Amino acid sequence: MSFLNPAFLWALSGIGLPILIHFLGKRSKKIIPFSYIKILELTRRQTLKIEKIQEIFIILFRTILIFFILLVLSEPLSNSPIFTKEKKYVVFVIDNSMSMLANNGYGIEKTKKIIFKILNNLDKKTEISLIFLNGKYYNFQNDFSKIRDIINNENLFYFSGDFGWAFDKSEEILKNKEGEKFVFIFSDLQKKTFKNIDKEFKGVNVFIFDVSPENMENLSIKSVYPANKKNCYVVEIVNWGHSKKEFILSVKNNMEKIKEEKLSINPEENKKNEIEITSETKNFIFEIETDDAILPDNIYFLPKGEKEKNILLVSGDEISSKFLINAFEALKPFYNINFKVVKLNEIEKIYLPEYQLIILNDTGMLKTEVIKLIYSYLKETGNVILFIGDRTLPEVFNETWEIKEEKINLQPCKIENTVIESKRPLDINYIEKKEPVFYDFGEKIYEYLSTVKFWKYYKVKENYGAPILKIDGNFDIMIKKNIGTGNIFFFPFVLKDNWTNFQKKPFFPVFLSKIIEIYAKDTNLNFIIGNPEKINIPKDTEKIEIYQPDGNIFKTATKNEEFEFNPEIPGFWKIKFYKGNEKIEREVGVNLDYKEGNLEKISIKELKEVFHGNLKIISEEKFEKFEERFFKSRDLTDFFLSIAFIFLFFSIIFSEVAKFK
Amino acid sequence: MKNTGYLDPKVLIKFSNLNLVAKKSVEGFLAGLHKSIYKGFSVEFFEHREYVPGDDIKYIDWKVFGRTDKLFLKTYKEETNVRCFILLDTSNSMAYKTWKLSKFQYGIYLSACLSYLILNQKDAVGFVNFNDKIQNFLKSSSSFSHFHNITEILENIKPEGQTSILSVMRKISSNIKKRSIIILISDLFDDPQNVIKGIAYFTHYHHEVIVFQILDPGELSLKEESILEFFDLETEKKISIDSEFVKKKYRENIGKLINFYKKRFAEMKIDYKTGITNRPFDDFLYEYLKSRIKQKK
Repeated sequence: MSFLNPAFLWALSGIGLPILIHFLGKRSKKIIPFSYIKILELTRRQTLKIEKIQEIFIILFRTILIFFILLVLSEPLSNSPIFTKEKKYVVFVIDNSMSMLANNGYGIEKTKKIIFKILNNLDKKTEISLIFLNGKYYNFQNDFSKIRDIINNENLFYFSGDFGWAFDKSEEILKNKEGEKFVFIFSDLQKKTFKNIDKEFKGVNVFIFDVSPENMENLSIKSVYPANKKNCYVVEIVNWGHSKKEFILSVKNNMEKIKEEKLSINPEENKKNEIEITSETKNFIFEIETDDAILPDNIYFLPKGEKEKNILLVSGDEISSKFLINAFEALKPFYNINFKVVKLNEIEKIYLPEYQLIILNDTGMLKTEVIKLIYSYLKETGNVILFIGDRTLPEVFNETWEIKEEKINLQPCKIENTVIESKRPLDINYIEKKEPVFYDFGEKIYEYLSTVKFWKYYKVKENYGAPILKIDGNFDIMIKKNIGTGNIFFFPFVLKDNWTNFQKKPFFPVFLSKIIEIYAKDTNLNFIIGNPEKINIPKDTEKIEIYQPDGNIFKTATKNEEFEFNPEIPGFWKIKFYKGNEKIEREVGVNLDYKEGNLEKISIKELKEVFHGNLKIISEEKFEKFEERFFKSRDLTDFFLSIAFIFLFFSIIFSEVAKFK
Repeated sequence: MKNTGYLDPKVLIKFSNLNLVAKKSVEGFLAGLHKSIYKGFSVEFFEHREYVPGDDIKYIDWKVFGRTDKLFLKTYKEETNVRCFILLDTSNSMAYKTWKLSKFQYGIYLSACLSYLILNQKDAVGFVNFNDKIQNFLKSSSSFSHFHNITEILENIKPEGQTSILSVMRKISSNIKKRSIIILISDLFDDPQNVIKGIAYFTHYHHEVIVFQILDPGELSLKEESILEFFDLETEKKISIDSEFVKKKYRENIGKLINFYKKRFAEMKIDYKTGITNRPFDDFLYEYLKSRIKQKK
């Protein structure tokens, strides 16, 4: 037998305490006068013998009780087979959320280390199961080598979630097992992973290993994604603490530091830092270094958690833009719309890929750089609605949307030099019924658009897109041109009363909402692990190739194949779309749910509430003792505690029985 | 109902005047007993006479009828100058008190009440208090002024010394020549055999004996404390006892002692009553007298 706390054995020298107390108690008695001592003497003579015997027993029981209490406190262990008969069933529940990779994977390395130690000490007959937060479950029976292989070789730690499923599964596994049952939970104890969980494991020994690194700061990288400039990346950092932080943002490529920037961030600030990295390979690790800790590295998060539609209105004319603003305001209660209005000269400062839809209203002549940005945006990200302005010169319009030397052509059509004015209002006489915007309305669309009238318009010539709406005289009034993954919707009229009443009709915001709903898809520059999503595939794509951050091909797909992107590794992925000889290459950031960045730990009190008090929390410094207790030998604490209780019971019974004798 | 219109003895004992206490207590229960009390002490069987039609049949002696087949009536004569002696144990053990009154105080009040009662019905009463010796011996007298002599002694005595009933009773009995009613008020905490032997001196000389054993509630059951050291009020002898441990056995033993006296006194045709000090003394006396009247009938 060995002891975890042998120091308590010294206290065994005090085993004679009950005898001492007994005699001291006899000495400190109360003296009281009595009238007839003879009867007391007689009584005493009659009871003396039995009293002495009972006294001896009480002292004996109390002495034994103290002996066993001291044994319990010294935490005895035994290797005797008598105590290790029961078969063990062990379930390892591993928190493989991203935060476990914090501090160079401290949590996960610690978890591996502990699991291997436990495996080394477990009886070979023990049945083991392995459960991960993301729903992965392995039952190895007693093949320990497989567990080692999985933990060593599989990239398990790129998922987010909570313990709900894992705990339910553990309970299910252990339900009908006869023997000693254990659930070992390895986690950095982030609050969110225990949210809304209420689990009382009955008849199961539940142990939680706190594998969280120390010195965590309240800083985290929320997301990393490609910027709209070449070789630029946006690193979004959040300070969820309550004080201003100074830190260094460093970038490693192939484990070599290639860049660092000294930055500061205010309390609860969400800061986007654009960082230029010129490097052929992109095996990047982003790190925040503070004075005393290196914070979670290699963490990529989605820029916006919600499925928000970001819409940008670039306004060159306030009057007509007002109708657009009103329309979007009307839509806000029904759609999660984030609507931003900027002036023409501000467009260059805007990071367009953040928006799912850009409306250009009366933009006039645009700089070549802006056209390039819009082209890049259309090709890889979103959609554009273009309203002509009443001051727009047709010659300028016809020249603006094409940059011949760069082979960039956004031009939806060309327009004639003069504005056409009609004395009578012109009706819409053609609707492209295949246009998805009109699908939901069916035949009713004619009715909805029947009251829309036009008095002025630019006459379209050389249409490069597809006509969607036409008015009397067969003139195009809405044109759609596909560019890359996006579309440009061109309207050759101005949203003013002397041009049309369209903007005043109730159908106008509905019409815009349908364009948003159908075309304003996510930018697809950012993905979140565990949330598979469809990729916007450029028109006429024949083949798609997806490359992992390490350069290995992840998936290939062919034309018309239902395609869903479900990345499991964070980092920069590359998606290549092939169309004949043409190749469109898109880089996307694969992030984790930002909530992972909230490193708030669950308190021990809260944790006990989750498990109804049925758990033991093992910190790093306690692990050695734990290992000794549960695996190297059988813990006899409970056994001796039971014996101590028996003797406590006897002591009470004997002293009570004596009173009634 | 006893005490009708009279003060509660609990209130009376607050007054130091024993005259008043005795008077009020006794008159209180006399009102309850009516005149029958006189028969209790001083009315005595005189002779049998033959039954004559018209006589009250309740006086027919049926035992005689059983033997002789003839109807005889019992006739009584009112005895005068019945002598009573009240013997009060004033040894140290009587000082024991866990209640408001010690056994000694209880005995004092009982003595005063009895004296008053006896003198009130024109009988003679004498008073003796003792421990292992006779402390005071007051001869009997039927003069009511004698009550003041008794109360004077009662007011001035204190519990002291050890008990030795056998020797004391022997001495007292030698001092009482005429047949008397002997009322012994004591806790009888002496060797029980000696107590019986001592009292037997009186029965031997044809005295009628009444024994009032006065006990404290704390003597019937021990206090529920653990180890206690008791010292004897008389002998100052000490003994250590775990009262929790022995309390049940003690109750048994004290019960045995009381039963022993009950049995032996019954055999000796001695009236024996146990008075516990937590019971009002007038209540105790009243109940005894009532039972005595019943017995006499």
